[in-house]
Amino acid sequence: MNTKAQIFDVARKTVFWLVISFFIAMIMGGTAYAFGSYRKALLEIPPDLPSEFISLRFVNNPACFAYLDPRTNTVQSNSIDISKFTQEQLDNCYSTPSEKGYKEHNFRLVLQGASTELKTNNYYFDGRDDFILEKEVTLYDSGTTKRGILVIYVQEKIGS
Amino acid sequence: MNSKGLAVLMTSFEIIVVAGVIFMLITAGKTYAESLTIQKINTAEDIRMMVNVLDGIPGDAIVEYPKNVSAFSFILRPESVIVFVKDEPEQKNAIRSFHLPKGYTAEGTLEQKSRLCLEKKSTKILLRECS
Repeated sequence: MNTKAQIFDVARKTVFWLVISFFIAMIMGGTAYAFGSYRKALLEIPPDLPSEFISLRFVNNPACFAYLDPRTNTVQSNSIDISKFTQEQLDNCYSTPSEKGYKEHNFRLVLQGASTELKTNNYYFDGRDDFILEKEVTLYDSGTTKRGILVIYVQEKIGS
Repeated sequence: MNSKGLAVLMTSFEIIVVAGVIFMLITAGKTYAESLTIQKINTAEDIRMMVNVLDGIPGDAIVEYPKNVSAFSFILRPESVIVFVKDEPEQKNAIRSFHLPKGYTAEGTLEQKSRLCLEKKSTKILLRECS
């Protein structure tokens, strides 16, 4: 091989490897990104799921509004004791920190057909709720029971 | 330039390129390994949701986390759960907060065990190894 051909060969290989290195780097970066995005998409939580889980306590936990049968000392699931449906009880049941609580889930609770409306301490979204949950409940009121619907207005969080 | 010298130069160059590619592969592998961070965050999020569910059921219950968690350590406190990898800096901890009803408490630790259980006993939520 003469000198000119050798120099050309070196230059050709150098350019080849530079280009290939660039593409390999691009492919690896792209693959890592694709893996990350795919995994994130697979594990994404539907936004209303955490709210649904938190709101379970309103109708199932006696520390919230659920009815506790005094004779059997058992909690009635999906129930509301009307005597407990107060702002004080809600504050005891679910309360977010006063400073950054607006970044948490906050709720406005309304019993369909009743005028009482309760709000958690950092709820500000009147009428602009992120979504609304409805729960069919048994209402316990002074020894009588009836069916009702608890409407839960959800403020997911304010800001990022 | 003689042909022997050129061959040595070319070989050196190719070795450098191959070394570069290997380095990039290692970097990509490391990036992939960092997905442990994603798992850590998701595990913390899962446990937060599990705690919220346990708060929302009448009566006592025990639930096992349906994944091997031996890569992580856990601290459950009354207001948050911390998931971390042992010997990692504190800034890399995944912390998720929750808000229990008044009178309720949560506690427990677990260090690099494969099976994690959350148990609700009356007003206490306990994080521990599954028996």
